[in-house]
Amino acid sequence: MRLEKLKSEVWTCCHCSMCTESVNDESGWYKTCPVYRQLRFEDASARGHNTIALYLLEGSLKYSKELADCIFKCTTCHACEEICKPMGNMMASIGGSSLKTMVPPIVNALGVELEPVHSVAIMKAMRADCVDLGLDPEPIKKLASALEETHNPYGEAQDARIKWAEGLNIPEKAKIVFFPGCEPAYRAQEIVLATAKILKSAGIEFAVLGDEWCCGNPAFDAGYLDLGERLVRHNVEVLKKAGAEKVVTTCPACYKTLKNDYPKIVGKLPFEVVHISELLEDLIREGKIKPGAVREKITYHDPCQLGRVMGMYREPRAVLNAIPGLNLVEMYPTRQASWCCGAGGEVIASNPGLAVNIAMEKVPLVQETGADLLVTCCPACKRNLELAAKRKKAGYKVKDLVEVVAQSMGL
Amino acid sequence: MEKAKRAQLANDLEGIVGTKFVRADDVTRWTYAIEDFGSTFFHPLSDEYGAPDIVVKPQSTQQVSDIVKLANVRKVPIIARGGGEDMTGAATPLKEKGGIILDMTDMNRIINFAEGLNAVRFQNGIRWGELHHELSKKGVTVGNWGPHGFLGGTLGGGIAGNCFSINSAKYGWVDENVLNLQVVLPNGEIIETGSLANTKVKDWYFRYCNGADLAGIFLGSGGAFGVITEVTMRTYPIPEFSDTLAYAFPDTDSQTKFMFKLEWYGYVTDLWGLAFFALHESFKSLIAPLLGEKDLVILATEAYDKAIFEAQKKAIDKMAKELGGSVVPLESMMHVLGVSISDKTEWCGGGIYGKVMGPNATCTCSISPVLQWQKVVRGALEVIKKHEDALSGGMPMIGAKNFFMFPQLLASGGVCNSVATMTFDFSDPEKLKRAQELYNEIWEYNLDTGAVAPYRIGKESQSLMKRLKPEYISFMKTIKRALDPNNIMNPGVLGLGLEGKE
Repeated sequence: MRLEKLKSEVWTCCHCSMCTESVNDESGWYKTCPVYRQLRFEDASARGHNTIALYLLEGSLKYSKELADCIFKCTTCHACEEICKPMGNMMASIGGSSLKTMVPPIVNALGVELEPVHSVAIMKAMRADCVDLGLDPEPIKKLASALEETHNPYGEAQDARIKWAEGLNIPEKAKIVFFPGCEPAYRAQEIVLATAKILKSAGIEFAVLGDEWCCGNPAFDAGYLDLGERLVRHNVEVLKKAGAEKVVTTCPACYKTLKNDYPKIVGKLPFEVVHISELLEDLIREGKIKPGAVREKITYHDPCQLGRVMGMYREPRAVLNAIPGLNLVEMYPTRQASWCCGAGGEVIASNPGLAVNIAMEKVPLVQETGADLLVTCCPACKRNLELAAKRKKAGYKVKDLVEVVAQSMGL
Repeated sequence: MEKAKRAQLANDLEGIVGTKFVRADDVTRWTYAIEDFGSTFFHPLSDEYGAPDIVVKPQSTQQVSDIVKLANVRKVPIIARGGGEDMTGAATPLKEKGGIILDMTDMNRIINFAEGLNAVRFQNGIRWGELHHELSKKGVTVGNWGPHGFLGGTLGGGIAGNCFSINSAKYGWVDENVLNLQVVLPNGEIIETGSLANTKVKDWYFRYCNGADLAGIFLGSGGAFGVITEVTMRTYPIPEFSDTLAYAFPDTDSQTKFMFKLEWYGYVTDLWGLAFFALHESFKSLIAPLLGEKDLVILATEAYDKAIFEAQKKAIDKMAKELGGSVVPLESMMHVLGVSISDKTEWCGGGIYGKVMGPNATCTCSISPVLQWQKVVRGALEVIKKHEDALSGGMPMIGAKNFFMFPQLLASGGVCNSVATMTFDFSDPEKLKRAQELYNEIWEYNLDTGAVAPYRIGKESQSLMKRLKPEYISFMKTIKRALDPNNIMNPGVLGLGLEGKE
């Protein structure tokens, strides 16, 4: 069992219910687990998963189809880990980024680890065990099979990956490589096109790779670890061949996987990985792009992988606040306590109904802000939030950050 | 329970609450075979506990009543559960008994905020955080923040578990704030206590009327006598002014006198202490260069008016200095950080226990008069030191290696919680056994002092019942027999409902 390796981590969970359904006004939490909010039994939450793990290790439970169905409902949004961080509420409350930076090393020196229980890793180890035993749900098997055969989750042809770039004269070799990821390349081309137009307008020479494969995130999420590794190794090779020194992503899952997971597999990367919001912030500061006025009231949805996992809350907001006329109103809850859109953790593939139900819960939060436009930084979030808004006849539009920036530049 | 019987019972329960709210599959059942074990001595691998046969989520008091009636006919145990924070086994079935878990967390509405009556009526499955969230919109609070696991725990669990909390020093224990209860009795009848027992009273909440205080039977009973479904509690305005203060004292006598006097005069909202002699050597070496070999008191104080608040702080300062205390400049640091001890909710719960306090920190939370605290702790310290090799130093607490003891002021009369926290490796069966022995030895010592009472019995501490006077136990059993002749209500809790084993 892969879970065995995490035995000591499983035992660190004290099984309090903070990850299940907490409300905490001080640190802006209004309920924790999006799946628990929908399904209402404890097996849906991180505490439930950790209990399942404990009883798997102890022998009272065995892996089964029903167990696999349960753990494949997790969106991997990391809200459970965020609320579990020791002193996390205090860290959220204390003022000033310098204090936030100073406190962890001080308490670390006192012997205090500010790490949460790594409930998502525990859950993913169980998913991997299910895959080893052939118990993963059918849609996940199909997804893995598509990844294996076509190197994208949709079963699309490889040569269609950069079809969107036809006529744009984008080379396949450059120091800066734009890594669109599967969803933008095949399903959300408005995002890749907007990104490419902005980069060109800023005078940046960049490449896109016809031989790019899936970043590996869906495979790792689904428990297909060997497959994920193969995808990673391929991408590192093609990025090296392209002479990449900097890889730019728009998809937060690609960003997280390239930046966090690739080095664990291949060692130190020969290139830097940046998210488009970081790059846009730099370009605006340097005056290389000059957004024009967009008179709209907007709100921003933090993608889980970009926010809670990568800690990137400021950059997208800085970009939006640099657009004259945009009135950014925050939802409640937001940032570290932001509600997941429901699409993550391959739930959009394994349980699409659950995914959209989670997204529909977010509609009133958006409406409460009075925003006409919901902006996010993730193609999967965009798709799911758009579907939810449509189903609920919410009356607001959903756009990616790059679309808003491109619009402000008249592109 | 046999598979066919379980299927039949699940089917009948679905008839009451609907298919969506009943689960009898193994995965769901086993996720309810556990509760918070960040403290006290509940542990999931004990031979005592097991999975329920069925988990059901009632949506109304009437449904709870119908479920209890059905359970009575079938003689199946009922275990009401909220956030699963009990820590003494009250929210988990006994392996030999199984039963139906009533997951109350869908009964989570505020029914009435009675502004002119300083009261709030709610369903018992509401979580602490949600209640605070809603009440803060009205500028009021129920005073206590909630037990371990804090804001994810439910009010129902805290009330049935007789819990205290941050701020109990000012507001009293949670149950002291209860005005009325609605309870489903073991026969399925629904009763109201206090003023709501009057046929014409609809929305006036008062506890002490209509004869005996029948609410008291259910408070702290762990569900042995019925299922609490609705509760009315007192509310208080949220104080506008609050500060966290700290003083260091030359000896523990002065420290405890200060703690007692603070409560006596009503100046304190929350208070935690550290006695130098009770610290692990590793922690002593950390704290001595900063404060000297002194005993520390950290307290929160609050008021509604600025002039009163300032005067109160002056009075506290004077009192501390008369007892040889010196100011520890925590107040300004807390101001800079924007935090205080009274309105923060993360001292326990989440990774604090898992990662900071040790993988499995076990506490003997015993209640004693604060002036007796030293006596209680000295004995516990001797026991811990005798068995220190049983403790796991695998994941040290804040500089304290493997044990940590402190008093927390809790209620009027200078009642304090003597916390002895220790870390063990529960995944090692031998260490687990030693941990249980050590835990029991501390308790036996504590009870021998004549200054300690267990504040929570649950199922895990039922062995402590033998230290209660026989007449008292007999009285409880009489109540149990009268109310629950079939022993269906949470068997094992308070040591009751275990035919032939009591």
